[in-house]
Parts: sequence; structure tokens; C-alpha cells
Amino acid sequence: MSLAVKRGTGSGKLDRELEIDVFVNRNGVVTNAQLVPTEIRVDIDMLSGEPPLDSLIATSNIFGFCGGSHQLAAANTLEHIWNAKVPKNALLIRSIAQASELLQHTCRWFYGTFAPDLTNPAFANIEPFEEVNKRFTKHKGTSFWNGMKGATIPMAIYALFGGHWPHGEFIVPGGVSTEIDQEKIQTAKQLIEKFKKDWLEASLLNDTVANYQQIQTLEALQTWVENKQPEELGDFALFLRSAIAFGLDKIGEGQNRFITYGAFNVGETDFQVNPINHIKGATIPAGFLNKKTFQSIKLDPFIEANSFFSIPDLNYNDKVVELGSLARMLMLGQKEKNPAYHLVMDIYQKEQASVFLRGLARLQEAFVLTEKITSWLDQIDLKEPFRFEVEERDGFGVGITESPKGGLLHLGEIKDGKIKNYRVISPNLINVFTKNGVTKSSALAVNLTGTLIKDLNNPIEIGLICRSMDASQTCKVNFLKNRSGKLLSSVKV
Amino acid sequence: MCLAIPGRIKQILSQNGSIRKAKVAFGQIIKDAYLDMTPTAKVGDYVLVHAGVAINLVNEKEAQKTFKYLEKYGGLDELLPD
Repeated sequence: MSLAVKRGTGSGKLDRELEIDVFVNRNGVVTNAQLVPTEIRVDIDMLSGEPPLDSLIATSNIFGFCGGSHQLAAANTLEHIWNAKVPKNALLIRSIAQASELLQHTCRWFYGTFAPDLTNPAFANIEPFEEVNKRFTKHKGTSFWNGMKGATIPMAIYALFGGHWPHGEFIVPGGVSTEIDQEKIQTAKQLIEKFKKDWLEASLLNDTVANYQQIQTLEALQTWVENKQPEELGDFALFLRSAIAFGLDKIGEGQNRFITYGAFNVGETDFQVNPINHIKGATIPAGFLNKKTFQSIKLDPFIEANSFFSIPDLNYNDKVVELGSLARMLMLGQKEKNPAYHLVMDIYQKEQASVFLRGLARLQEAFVLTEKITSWLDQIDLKEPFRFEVEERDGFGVGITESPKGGLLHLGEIKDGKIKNYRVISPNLINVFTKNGVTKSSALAVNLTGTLIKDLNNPIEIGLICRSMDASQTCKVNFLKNRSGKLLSSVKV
Repeated sequence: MCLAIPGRIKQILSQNGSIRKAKVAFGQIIKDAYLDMTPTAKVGDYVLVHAGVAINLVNEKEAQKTFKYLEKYGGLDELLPD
């Protein structure tokens, strides 16, 4: 079997949009949504016959948008097969680089993908549109370029430890290959402090992180957002106020089932890499939130279903699940004792999942990761090792972690010292696509269903839901009649 | 969606205000890409393009290696002409 690139009717362009078939009833309510896969699907004989280490380079190069996360998942896969241990210093460096990849993505996602939707003409008559339009208009808004500039700071931290993002080849089985000295650590500390002061506090909050972290409930958040004029608000508070005014807290609820695979194992001195230890020790916890009930995640359904020789089922225990920042912040709120991390869970418990909460969660994650990076930098001990020797052997392994878009799963099999099978299950395959020949629904399809489209010529509700899930920058929406399936119109949003 | 394909900037299309767009060559195929995230990019540079946006500069060696992997594993199907 060759690598399968599942293609839909709208695929074939590098800058192509996500194509969605949206069934609507006579009232303009979405009754069903089908999403055409446009993503490369790395199937069973990817890398077959190649040396094992090629999986790190190939996957980080192919999936360049989140190359650091793929490189880590690939290393974890080999380390599982080889029964490898990794020293704490290496876990810290890996975590700092991975968190930096997430942070740069947050800056770019918010200003480049998500916030521009708030300037849609559909909201033109609702306060605080004028201020929103002034700041968040793509390319022209007063905050747009500042957001892009903000992304360069975590990228510089990544470069110090991981090389040129996203292709730095710094992760090796057993540790990291980067040479670390005090000067690098000091430079990284200065950069993360700069990110906090210049971007989080000056641009995003117009307040201190310490003050923001006092906000731990929905009520406290409302007070913080409501007591100022729009022009006095930081970009974050302006987003929150406009999102509620524009009704973004009422769309995109979905099925309220979330999964994280967990990320950032930094607690142990000599970490034995395997999925069970990963799930036990992840700083961003692994878990399954079934509506309001937290459960431990079992990887078996994924691994068995995605074994190399069965048909993949990308649901979890037959349930549609959502991956991504909201899932991560919900798990963190559930497991972490620090009340500064409880805000997203508090709102979820009192309200529901929504476009608003997804936006809030991704920005909240930036505060969490900035704090974590600072702490991890302090824990690096230059007297201790950064890499252990590994002994190669044949076998089957699983590598799991979190990429910017959500949980990421690699599966690999080595025989006679060469890769026999390799498979990557990227977050979009679970979160987004329905027409993959197996699953009939996805988190995005469920989140769209039930949404009232106020103007079929400007379905901004669809754009917002897609972009809140980080599914695509642009969408081609085919509106179809609910019962007959007759094409009503196609529109880009 | 997570793919990022390397190409070489052939022409900077506009610098109307701060908006920059480029003609980027991916082998024989030319596509437009925004340079929002690569403000220092210039003609002749290699950039990594994701969803119509150049997400970072890469050197020629890095670009060729990535292109080779994408070619091998079908990722360049994304480059069908418009």
C-alpha cells in the first residue's frame, strides 16, 4: 500500500481552503456538515525500509507547520521501541522548545487567523466594533503587526535550543544534541521575560500577568472586562468583550467531549519513555473529559484501531472527541491545584464550550506556557547529562504529545534494524474530517451542527467555528438543502 | 493542513502599506504567498509556505531536503495548478 493522500473535490491548491458541505434547513440552521479531507495521510508503509532515525527528520520536515512536535513524537516512538531513558535536562530542553512552538503559533493564530473575523461586517452595528475594527483588521489593524512581531520571540527561544524552527534537528533518541551553556540559558530567560513584558502585558493584557491571574472565575472575568472603555482594554479584554457582544459564547458548543494526550514530561531525573509514563507525568495532563466528568485516557482504542493492519477509526470509544487548546486548558483546570489555571474550567462548568471559550483557552495557554518556560529554564543543571546512550532493537512503539492543533500520535515498527511501518495520526484527522471513509462525523462537524446561519451569503458563524478550532484559514462552504442535498450556493468565508 | 512546503521567492508583488505578497516558485509551479510572518524575506530567499502564508525563511539545503521528502510521500500533490 502506498502513502494515501485522501483528496476531496476542492483539493489541489497549496493555499486551498477547507471545503465543507453544510446542510441547512429552511430556517438556515445547520443540520449536518461533511468535511472533505485535504490532508496528507501518512499510511502504513511510510518510511518503510528507511533507517529508524529518518522518522524524526522526515516527519518534522513534512509537517513543517508543527515540526518540533512531530520530531518529539517521532523520538518518543523510537524511545518506546528501544526502551530508552531520557535525562531530565533533555526533557526540559524539549519542553521549552515545544512550548515555544505553541507560543509562536498562538500569536500568529490570534492576530492572523482568528481576531480578523471579529471585523466582519455582520458585527458592524454592535459595540465595540469600531475599536475591534481599528485593531484587528488583517494587515491593517494597529495590533496586527505587533502580534506577528510577538511570534518572533518564542521562535528565537526555539532557535537557541532547537535550531532553526521548524526544521531544527535537535532531538535525538535518549536526549538532545544541542550544546547548552549558561549564556544560552540566560539569553532565553531574557527573551521569555521580554515576551511577557512586551507582548503578554503591554499588548495583550494592558495589565500585569499577576493581576490577570487573580481572575479565576467567570464573574471576576466579567468585572475585569466591563469596567473600562474599549480603548482602555488590552487586545485580550477587547476580544472577550466583543466576543460576548457578538454572541460568540453561544455558537460552536459541540458535543463537549475532549481528549488530550498530555505534554511536557519534566518531573523525573531519568525518564523511561513510554506512553504510560508519559500519561502519568505530563505537565499538561492527558485525559478524557466526557461532558462534565473527567476520566483517565486509555490509548488502547486509538492504538488498536489505528494498528497498521486494521481500518482506522478516529473516534474514541465510538464518541466524537475534540482536541486542542480548549481540551488542554480544561484538563489543566481539572488537575492543577494552582487556581490561576482554573478560569477556563470555571466558565465551561457554568456555561458551555463555544467559539468564545476556545479563543480564551488558547490565549490562556500563552500565560501558562510563559510561566512554565521560565520555571523550566531555572531547572536546567549544566553539571548533569543531556543525553543517554540508547540501544537499538526491533519492536513496536507509540509516541504521543500535543501539537498546537491538538493531540498527536505516531506509531512505528522496526524490523531488522529498519522501519517496517510508520503512521502519523495528526489532530486534524480526528478534529476536522468526516469524509475519510471511516468516521461519519468529527468534532468540527458536530460543532457546526445546530448553528443558525443568519446570512447565507456571509456565513461568518462557520468561519468562526472553524477558525476557533484552528481547522483552516479560509473555508469554501457549499450550502445544500437539508433533505434533497441540492446545492444552494457556494461561498468563501 | 500541517504541511509546509518550501519555495523560492521570485517576485515581491506589493508593498501597499505593510501588506507584502510574493510570487513563490515550487519547482515549476508558481503560487502567491503572503509574507506577513516573514517581514525580512526578499527575492531569492527560500520560504516555507503553509496555507498561503510564508511561515519562516529556510536555507536552500533545508528547502531541498524538505522538498525531497514531500515529493517522496505525496505532499506535493498540493501543488496542482489552480
